Amino acid sequence: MSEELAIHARGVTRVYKAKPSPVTALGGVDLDVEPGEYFGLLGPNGAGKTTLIKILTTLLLPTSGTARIAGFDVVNETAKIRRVINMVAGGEQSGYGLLTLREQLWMFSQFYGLPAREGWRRVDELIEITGLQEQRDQKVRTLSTGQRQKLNFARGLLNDPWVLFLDEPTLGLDVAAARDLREHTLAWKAAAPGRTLLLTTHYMVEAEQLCDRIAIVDRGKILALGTPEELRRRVQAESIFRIELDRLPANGGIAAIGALPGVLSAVPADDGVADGAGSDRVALKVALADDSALTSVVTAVAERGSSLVGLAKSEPSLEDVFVELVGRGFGDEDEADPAP
Amino acid sequence: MAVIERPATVEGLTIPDAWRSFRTAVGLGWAIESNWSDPFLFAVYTIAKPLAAAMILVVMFNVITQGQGGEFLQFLIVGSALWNVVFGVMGGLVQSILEDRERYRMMKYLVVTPTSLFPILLGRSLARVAVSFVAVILTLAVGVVLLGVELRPNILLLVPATILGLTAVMALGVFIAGWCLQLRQEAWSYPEAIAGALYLVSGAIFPIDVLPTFLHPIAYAIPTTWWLEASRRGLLGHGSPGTIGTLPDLVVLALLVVTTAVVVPLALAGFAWFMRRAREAGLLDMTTGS
Ligand SMILES: Nc1ncnc2c1ncn2[C@@H]1O[C@H](COP(=O)(O)OP(=O)(O)O)[C@@H](O)[C@H]1O
Ligand SMILES: [Mg+2]
Repeated sequence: MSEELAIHARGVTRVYKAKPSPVTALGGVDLDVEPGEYFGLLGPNGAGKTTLIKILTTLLLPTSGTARIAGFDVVNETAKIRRVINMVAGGEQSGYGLLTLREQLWMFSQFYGLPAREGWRRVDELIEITGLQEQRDQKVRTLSTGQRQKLNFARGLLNDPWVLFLDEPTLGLDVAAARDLREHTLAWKAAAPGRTLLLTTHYMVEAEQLCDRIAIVDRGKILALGTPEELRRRVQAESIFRIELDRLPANGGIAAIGALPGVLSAVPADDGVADGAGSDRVALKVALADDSALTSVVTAVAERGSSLVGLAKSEPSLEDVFVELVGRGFGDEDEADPAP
Repeated sequence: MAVIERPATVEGLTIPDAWRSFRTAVGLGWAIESNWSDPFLFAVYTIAKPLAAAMILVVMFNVITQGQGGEFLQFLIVGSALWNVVFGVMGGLVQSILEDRERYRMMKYLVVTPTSLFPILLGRSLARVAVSFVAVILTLAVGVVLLGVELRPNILLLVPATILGLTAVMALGVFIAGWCLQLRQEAWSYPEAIAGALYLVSGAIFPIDVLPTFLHPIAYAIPTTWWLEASRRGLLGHGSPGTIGTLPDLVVLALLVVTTAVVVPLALAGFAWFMRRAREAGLLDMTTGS
């Protein structure tokens, strides 16, 4: 039964009391994650990812529904769950500024009940794994954002968790630090298979790179779930083109293109604008019911005063899946925000 | 290659866990809590402020009694000296819990460990408790040297009174800290209001007999009253002015034991309830400042 599952959730909802009206952050989530699986929750800001992680890590009670981690109930068996899980969140600066790295990690090793000697051994091992040897005796407040997050990640591995939760772990990190963290995550799995990861992210690349299976979430619901290949297959029937224009089309812009007959969707491409500062160039991703609709797109662009500077048929990505499911692009709600 | 499996048996929190957490929090709490890099500020807060508060009381008192109240002066000095501990403990616990959540952003990471927040909080705040004893000793020293207060310490009373009193005060502090988790930032001064109210009711500066009668049952029900009374006897060799001073030492100690034994489990249950409520409302990683 659910005992073998790393994560088992049924009908999990969460409503926050808020003014002027309550916010439904989760509208009934069912989720089964097998032991050893790396599972991704991919969705835009406000989708409910953090809320779900908080419920699964015993930080927040669900409004209704049930969830089990390693067979233990998230509401009533918190002490047992906390032995077998750990959690790392991104996007904020955390840490006791006046402690050194080693002290802070050692403190948590004690809160996880490691014997003193074993604790120090584990701390030094993790400092080495995360590449923080040079900073090990530095105070936490002197660390860069990326170093702090590596320290946070090291803390997350202290108890060698059976299920690890990473909530947007690379949010706000520079490219190199984000890549390091993703590599550490993969190395952790390689070192001993059987560990389970639940990752939330709004970076497609991160989900694809780290996860065996992915659930696409939006507005508190899981819209699709499968391996990256399975998800991509959903949009294989469509033709997806990357169109580069010298400027944004006038008169309705991208939305007008999306509304043309035969066009399923048109959104800014996730790699944003092409080269050259000061250039007005834009890149669009346009999904067509079939290739023949391309003619009307090209005509419509010209009518709106833009000229075509590039056109390529592209392989469907997870973003295309999302666009098909939700009808809008991933970054539409915040600024274009490519994975670091 | 070893495949990690879920441990066959998983234990909840054990007593050795709690003890280990407490010890760790004591050791590192000292480093987290204290910014000793500014000795001037440190001196102002730990020494000058409590001394000034005590001096103001004494001056007011002398103006009112025109220097005629020797016994009362002793009562006043000991009460205001010891109350530094209450402010230290309560302020320390509340500040620890709120700083962990809002400033260090570590509360959620503490909560997801298998240990309880309770021993961690106690350990974290012990640094501040220790510092508050500096103020106690200084205030008493001023009393002895400048104001002619005579100390006749009785270790047999003083030691149990201090241990029990600290236990009760810490339990109350933990309760208030849990309560503060529920509050928005503007309401952080509530605990100070509580400590202030206790100050008035426990006979720290007013003898209980001068309080309105409806407050007497409250005064006799709270452990801080009996802690102050037992400590006065342990320091001065005699009790407070008024009814409470006429009770035998053993009765005072027994009442301190009983009230502490009632308050500690109540405070712990209250703390657990507040934690549950914080989980329900999603307050464990909230930042109220923004
Ligand atoms: N404490 C809270 N009070 C009220 N609304 C909240 C609270 N936390 C989150 N929300 C709302 O719940 C929804 C989901 O938020 P969240 O789980 O943080 O999403 P994500 O992590 O996917 O960005 C959002 O609309 C957010 O505004
Ligand atoms: Mg989030």
